[in-house]
Amino acid sequence: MERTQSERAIPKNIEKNETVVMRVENLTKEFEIGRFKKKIVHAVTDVSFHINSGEILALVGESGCGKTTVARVLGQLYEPTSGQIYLYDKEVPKKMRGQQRLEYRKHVQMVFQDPYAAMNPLHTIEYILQRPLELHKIVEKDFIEEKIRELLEMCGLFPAERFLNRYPHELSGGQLQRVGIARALAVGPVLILADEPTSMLDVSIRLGIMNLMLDLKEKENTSYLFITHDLAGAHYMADRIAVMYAGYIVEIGSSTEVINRPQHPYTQLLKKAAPKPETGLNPEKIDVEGAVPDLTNLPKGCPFRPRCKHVLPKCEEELPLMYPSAEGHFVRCYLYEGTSPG
Amino acid sequence: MNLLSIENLKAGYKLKNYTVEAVNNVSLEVQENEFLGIVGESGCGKSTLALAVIRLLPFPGEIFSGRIRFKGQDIITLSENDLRKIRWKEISIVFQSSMNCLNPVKKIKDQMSDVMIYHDNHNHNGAQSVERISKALELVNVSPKYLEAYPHQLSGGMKQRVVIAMALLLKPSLIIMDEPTTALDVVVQRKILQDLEDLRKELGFAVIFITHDFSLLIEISDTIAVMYAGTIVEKAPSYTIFSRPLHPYTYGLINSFPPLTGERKRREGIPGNPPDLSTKIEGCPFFERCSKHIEGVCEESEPPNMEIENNHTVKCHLYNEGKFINGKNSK
Repeated sequence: MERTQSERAIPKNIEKNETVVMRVENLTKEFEIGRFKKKIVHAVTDVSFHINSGEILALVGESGCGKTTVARVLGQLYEPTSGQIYLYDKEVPKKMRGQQRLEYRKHVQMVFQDPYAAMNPLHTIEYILQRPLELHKIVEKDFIEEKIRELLEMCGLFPAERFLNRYPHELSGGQLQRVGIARALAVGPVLILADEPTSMLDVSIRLGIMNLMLDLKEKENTSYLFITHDLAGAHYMADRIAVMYAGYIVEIGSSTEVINRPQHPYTQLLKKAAPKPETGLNPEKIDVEGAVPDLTNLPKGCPFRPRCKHVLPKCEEELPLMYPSAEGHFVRCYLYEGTSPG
Repeated sequence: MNLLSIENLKAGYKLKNYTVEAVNNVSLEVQENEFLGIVGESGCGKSTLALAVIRLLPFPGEIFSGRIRFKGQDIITLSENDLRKIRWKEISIVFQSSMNCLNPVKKIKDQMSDVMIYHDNHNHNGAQSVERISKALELVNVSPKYLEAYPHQLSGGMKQRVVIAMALLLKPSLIIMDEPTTALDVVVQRKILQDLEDLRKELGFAVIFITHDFSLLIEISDTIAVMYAGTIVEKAPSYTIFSRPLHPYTYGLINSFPPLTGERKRREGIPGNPPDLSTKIEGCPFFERCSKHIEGVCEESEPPNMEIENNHTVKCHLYNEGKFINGKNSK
């Protein structure tokens, strides 16, 4: 594969003093589609990042940029095509089964976008929360019910008795998403992969879920990979933000850096397009044409080149690397080649 | 003169055992060339209101009472035949998911000429109508080469543009847009809205824009009406409502959108859930979730609609009988 320029794009910005919960290196995921004419969808290409303990990393991008695929690979729902995943410096095997997989999932849990689709409609909330506790042998049998109550109340569902015997359809979307978070927390994971957990919910409920996740992060010291398409939500939640475009991470850095000083032309475009009434009522005009490239036929060089205003001759030739633009802030763009951090 | 005026409209869905009052006593005016935004959570009745305005409510939906006047004509008593002449020619509507509006087995050209054949009295000959359609497509920045295309050959953003072109085809004076860009990505959404604003300046039409995205609405609309549980709880020019929200619900809703720029600090949303509209609501529909509700007042009686200052109306007991100083919110 010429497009995976593996060894070249590892941001070496791992802070020494903090424990890294998960490190992803050159992760690539391709899907094969088509019955007669086989095509390859480059869903995720050469993605590297790390998540510190007790940190929220937001993965931001438009639909089809591969952010959900990243979460699903990390959650062992897809097998990566290439690349390494490390959990506490231990390499995670590509293919896991049985006991090994169970063990991995004890550490890494997922929260899904649509809580109604993520839960079996025929089971009660009690049963849904009881399963992970049993499977992972978290508590003794006699204490399971107590633990379930504790989980429900931790996630803001008071009084817990009222929820135990209800079925998913009897709960509102916001309440059910809280159950989803409680289920993920049941096994005491170190990392929760939250795939757009708020985008299906009502506006007035959304903030409650985000605040719950922030509180739980403080209390349990859980790390999150928070996937969203909403830049403002990412800024509210995350310590660091990674911006994805056409399967690549184009920019990664601390949340305030990426939002206030976006470096990559695509991040700048995203920021321009996002509503921000607090800065006045005249939204900035955007003048970028084109759309996200076809993932089965990515342009040569930089994936954003066809829409970019600052295109350089070499953008067409080769994919740019991740260049540092500030402390812990990396940009995949030739405009920042040779700039020294700081 | 008002382009559209809605008076005490009640609409909803009559089911076997109960009635859902999705729109409850709504009064609204839309001026010519005005951009009116209606914001609310899902299930607050904003789509029902949009559909009721041109009498498109699907069964078992119906208008219970009230008046809708468009350019002086009473929409509610119009015959189906006369209504057809108003739809698309005077009032058109753009729905949320364009994928569901376009016929997958018909070419873009043919779908658009259907609008002209059905709603426009003129007999268009082929060449003329094609010219008009390609002009409409050009307006929304879709190349006329897509005239012969089928919907699946277009991207989501382009389909939405085609639907907007269709809405503009007969040059209506009012376009109702029900979450037209919710299914689209932010960049595409911004681009379409930008083009819509340019078109509105050029052609001059009024827009009723329905969405749940408050921060977007503040940037694009002239006036904003906040809807909650079937009623309009506050209405004001968009900047006024953003800088000085009066109703506690509006305040909570604005607060639910973290700002993109500026400092990161914790915000509190609105506790609880919206009420069930299939049961009769006593008093203020918001009182259970309201942090400022007045004991013994809010749950007893429905708050009156009051004009606090010019063009700024609010439906809340807090501002009743001069208990609150004009225009000042304690938060």
